[in-house]
Formats: sequence, structure tokens, C-alpha cells
Amino acid sequence: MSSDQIAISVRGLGKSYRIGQKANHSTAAEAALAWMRNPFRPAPTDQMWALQDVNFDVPRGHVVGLLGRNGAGKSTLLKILTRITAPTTGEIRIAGRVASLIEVGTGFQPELTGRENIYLNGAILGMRRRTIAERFDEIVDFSGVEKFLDTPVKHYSSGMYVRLAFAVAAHLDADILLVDEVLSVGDAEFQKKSLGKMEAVASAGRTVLFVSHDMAALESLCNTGITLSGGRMVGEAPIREALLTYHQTLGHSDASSSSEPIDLGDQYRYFRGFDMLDDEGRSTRTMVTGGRLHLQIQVDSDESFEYPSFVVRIDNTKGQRILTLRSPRTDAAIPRLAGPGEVSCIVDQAPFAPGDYVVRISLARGLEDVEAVEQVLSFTVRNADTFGDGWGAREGLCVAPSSWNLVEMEQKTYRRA
Amino acid sequence: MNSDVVVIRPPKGMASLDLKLLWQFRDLLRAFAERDIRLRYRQTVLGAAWVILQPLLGAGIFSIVFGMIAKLPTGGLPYFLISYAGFLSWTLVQGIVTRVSPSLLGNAPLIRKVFFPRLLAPFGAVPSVLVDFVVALGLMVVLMIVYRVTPGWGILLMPFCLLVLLLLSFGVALIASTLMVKYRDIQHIVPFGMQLLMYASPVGYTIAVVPEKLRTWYFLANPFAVPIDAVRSSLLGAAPANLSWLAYSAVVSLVVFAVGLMVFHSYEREFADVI
Repeated sequence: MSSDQIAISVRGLGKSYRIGQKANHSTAAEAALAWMRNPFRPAPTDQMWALQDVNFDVPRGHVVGLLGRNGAGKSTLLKILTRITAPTTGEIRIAGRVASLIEVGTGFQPELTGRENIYLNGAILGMRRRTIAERFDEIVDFSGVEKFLDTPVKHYSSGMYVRLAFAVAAHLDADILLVDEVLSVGDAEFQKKSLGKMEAVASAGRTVLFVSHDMAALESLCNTGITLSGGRMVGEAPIREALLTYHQTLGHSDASSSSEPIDLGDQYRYFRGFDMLDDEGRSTRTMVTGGRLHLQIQVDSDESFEYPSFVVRIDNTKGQRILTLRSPRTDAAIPRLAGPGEVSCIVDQAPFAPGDYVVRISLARGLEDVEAVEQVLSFTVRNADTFGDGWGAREGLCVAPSSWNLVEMEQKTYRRA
Repeated sequence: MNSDVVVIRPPKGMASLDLKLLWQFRDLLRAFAERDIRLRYRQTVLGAAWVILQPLLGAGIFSIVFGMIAKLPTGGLPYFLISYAGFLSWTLVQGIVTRVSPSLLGNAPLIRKVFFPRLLAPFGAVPSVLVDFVVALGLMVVLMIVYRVTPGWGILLMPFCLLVLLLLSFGVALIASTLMVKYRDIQHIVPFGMQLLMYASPVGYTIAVVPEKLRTWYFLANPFAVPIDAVRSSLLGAAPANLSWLAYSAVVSLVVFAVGLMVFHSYEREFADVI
């Protein structure tokens, strides 16, 4: 393939973070004190490689899906490609104008009106003012918020907010589009509309690099899939094949390998961490069928979020949704989220049949998801005779405790209802 | 198509400023500026009045303290006018330093999630300060008419002095903004430092009251002093500025500005990881 046809070429890419250093001295006073104590020995730091030795080419006009669980390095890769952060090793060549749909709505100012925010957000995403003016009507039309254009966006519902943000980003003019999980917010109807827009972009011959946990969207949009694991590339294949391999690996690994709390860092607005706990409060990735499921979500919020609704969705590895749990909206509701906190979700007798499960968490206002973390964790359910019937789970998707008895009849006739 | 191939490599030493990129994003400068000005004049109850009140109140207090209590010489001018003319320059210096230096932290969510030339964050904070300055300058003109003061030819020197102050304070602010990303306590140190600098500068007094033998050290140590005093004397038609010291301040301002740009630019690509 001639170099003319390559849109993105990545060679030997690596990104390491120095851990420890940032936490040690976040103030000049501390740094100065440390230096006075030990002027010639720098504080010991550890290196953590978020990406290592990544190589791939994306041909012009191809739509490539990036697969991998949380922490696999997908977001870091996109951040480097968009030049938000710099690589530690390697080289990337990008031919054409790049636009990114990462975290739509970043940079929206609550005090400014919808109209003002369209211009501000467009400029932040690198659009010329004239271009925004030309597409203004189109953007407003797509977002469906024309009635509230001159209202400060702080009065918008979260759905309107996301719609407007996506509308601006979707009208970017670029040869190469980097998309990170933008389709997981908003209501179902808007998600469909966004997906339609993405399909139009993809079929218009533009190059797209797409991160999503929405398997159906990946399958319908992408030509090829690149799979990352632990910061390394583990495969590049046609999308169906890549998805299949990815799916098979999803269920395993976690149960045996890691049993540490998941740190989401600051990549999300509200979610900070996640964990599954056993009866003694230790981190675990296994449970028994019918046993107690204890999930813990670390959250934080800059502003006061009234009546947050936390949602946990649990799928099996075939992609079937087994259970959706929502924090209550009755008197038992969580009144507000305003700062760091820990949300516990406990199901005393979780009715899972043996197998592997994948958890998705989201924070919603009403029924609308504001933020979601897909596949935040997967766990394994082992068979056990929790309900003391001597059988445990044998077949079916779920279990339940049951009581049985036989009432003996005097006569040999059945009672009719 | 190959004209716009972007090559991304690890940061290595001093890279040259990518002026082409800055030019490409020039509309963002305007967008940042508009945002700051809109927010500033929309959120506060007093709005624009606040911009006038600050130097007015400051000048009022200083004319009581230095003019009436300490009874510093005025050269025949009303003390209020002297201290207001000092506060005029100070509005610029203080505005630039206190609003440009937190411009990176203030845009932290953007820096973490979106790519744009980082230099536009501090540059974008400047126009709203200039608007404040123009408002304060308008009031200065009113005061001069009220007090019947006419500037002499010295007024031609004023734009130059303002430029020196602008470069000097912007350079300082660039360094502070870079340090602030890594060391959060800088944001508490900056206002304190500015308070000290205000008393160390001829804002509420003129350099005429600085003892002769101290002046060399005073001018050397505080490059803000001569241009601040020169802005006042050019407006009030007072004794002209010492041109060689003004030249010294101008050279220092260029150096500080260049150092500020270099410091900022050499850490620019790490901001998203640290902030």
C-alpha cells in the first residue's frame, strides 16, 4: 500500500506515566522542603506503561474499532492521536485534518446561552467561526433545542445538553474522526440519531477510529477491529473476527487475575472507582449462585447533583441483559451527590446461574443516562447449593429459592379450582 | 493531501513555537475572550460598575493614607488624581497576573479532554483585562476634565509604558500559570505576592518621594516601578520619566516575556497528564 493511502500510521508507540511523583509533591512548598532535605537525590518514581509498542496503519476511508476493556489503553491511544497528551516513545503520522468526538460537551459554560456555547464549543474543537456560522442552522436543527437557544445551558436538561454538544461535534469538518464512547449518553432515540450520523460519516469515505462498548454499533460501522490489552496490541482483524475473539476473552481473566478495586482515575466526570466485595468486604470477582452481590461505586461531583439515580446493568457473555438495578426513586432515594462518596449496591440473593457476567454502571437523571462506564468489571458465578435444595443451579438463566411441600389428600381426587 | 501531514513525536528539548497551529486556532482566542468578558459582566450584580469601583476605592484609600495621614508631597496635584493614575496602571498589571496565571487551571477539563494550542488559554484571558483597563482609562479622562489637568507631549510615551507593563506582567503570569499546574499552592502565593508588589510599586505614591540614594536599587529590583510612574506623569503632565531606567524596564520586560514563553512552551505537552 502506498503511503498516500494511509491516513494514520503508528510506529512503536508507547506512553508511560510516572506514578508517585505527582502524588508526592503537589505544592511548591512540599517540593521545596523535599529538595532541602535531599537536594541531589530526586524522589523515587515508578514508571507505568499505559501503552507499549503499538503499531498499526489505518488506510484512508477505513472505519476501525478499538476494542479492549477499561484500562487497556484505548483512551490513552486516542488522547495521543488527538495531541491532548504526548507519547513517550514512537512516532505517529496523520495525513488530513483530525477531529475528535471525545467527551462531548467539555467546555460548555453553564452561564452562557446555547447559541454562545455553540460558537465557543466549535472554536474549542478547532472550527473557524465562519464555518460555525454557516452550519449554525444545521447544528441547531440536529440538536432539536432551537426553542432554548437563548437560554443559559445551566437550565437545560441533561438530554438537551448532550444533544447540543453532540450536534456541534458531529458537524466538524475533518478527514479523520476519532470517536470515544459518545453514543452511550442521551436517550435511546437520540442514540439512534447519533448512530445514523456516524454511519453517514463512515460511508462518506472518511477515516474513523471508533471506541465503543456497543458491540452492535461496532459491528455495523467498522471494517476492522484492533484489540488492546494491558497497553499492548493483541490483534488486528476484520471486525467480526475481532469481536468474536474479544468476546471470548471477556469472561475469563478477571476472575483469576485481578481482584483489586478498579480505579477509574479522572477519566469520568462522576465515576472514580468500582469494586465488587465478598461477605468480608474484600475485593473479589467471584460469587456463588444465589449468594450476596455487593458492588461499590466511588463517585465524586463538582456541583450538587440532585436525586442522582445509579444504575447497574448486568449482562451475560452472550450479551443478554440479565438484571437492571436502579437506586430507588421513592423516599429511599439518594437525595444528592455533592462531593466524593461511595455508593453501595447490595443484592442479598443474587439470582445468577453459573457463568460469567459483565457489569455496566451509569448515573442517570430520571431515565436519561448522564454518564456510563461500559464493562467496568466482569465476574464469575460458581455453582453452589446456596438455597439448600441439594441441587444448586442446573439449567436456565437464573435461580431462586423455593419451598416445596406435598399436602396429602384423603381421597384420590384432585381439587378443582 | 500530503501538505497537512501531522507528525507526533515524544517531546524533546525546546521545540519551536508552532505559529501555523496558533493561526489555525485564532478564532478560539476570540471565543475565550468573549466567554470571559460575557461571564464577567453578566454574573456580578454590579457588573461594569465593579470595574470602576475597584480603582476608585483603592485610590480613595490611598489618598487618605498617603495624602492626608502621611502627607506626602503632591507637586500641586490633587492626591486623589495621583493615586488614581497609579491604580490605572495597577489595574492592568494586577489584572493580567491574577487572571492569566489561573487560566490553565481554570480550563483544566478542556486541557484534559480536548486538544488546542495551550498558549491560547493565557492569551485568551488578556482581552477581558484590557476591557477593564479601557473602562478605567475612560474614568481617568473624566477625572482629568473635572480637575482640569492637561497632559503634555509626554502622553506620547504612555502607550510604550503600557506595553512594557503588559509584557512584564504577562511574562510573570505565564511562569506562574505553568508552575500552578504542578504546584497548586502557587495560586495562594500569587495574590499575596501581588499585594506586596503593589506596596513596592509607586501606585499610591510617586517615585519623587523615594530617597535619592535608594532609587538605583529600587529601580533595579522593581522593573514595574518606572513604567507605572511614567504612565502617571505622562497623563498628569508631571516631571518626565527617566528614559534610561525606562529602557532598562523595557529590556527586562522582553526578557521576562521570552522566558515566560519558553517555560510555558517546554511544559505545554505535559499539562494534560499533570493537571
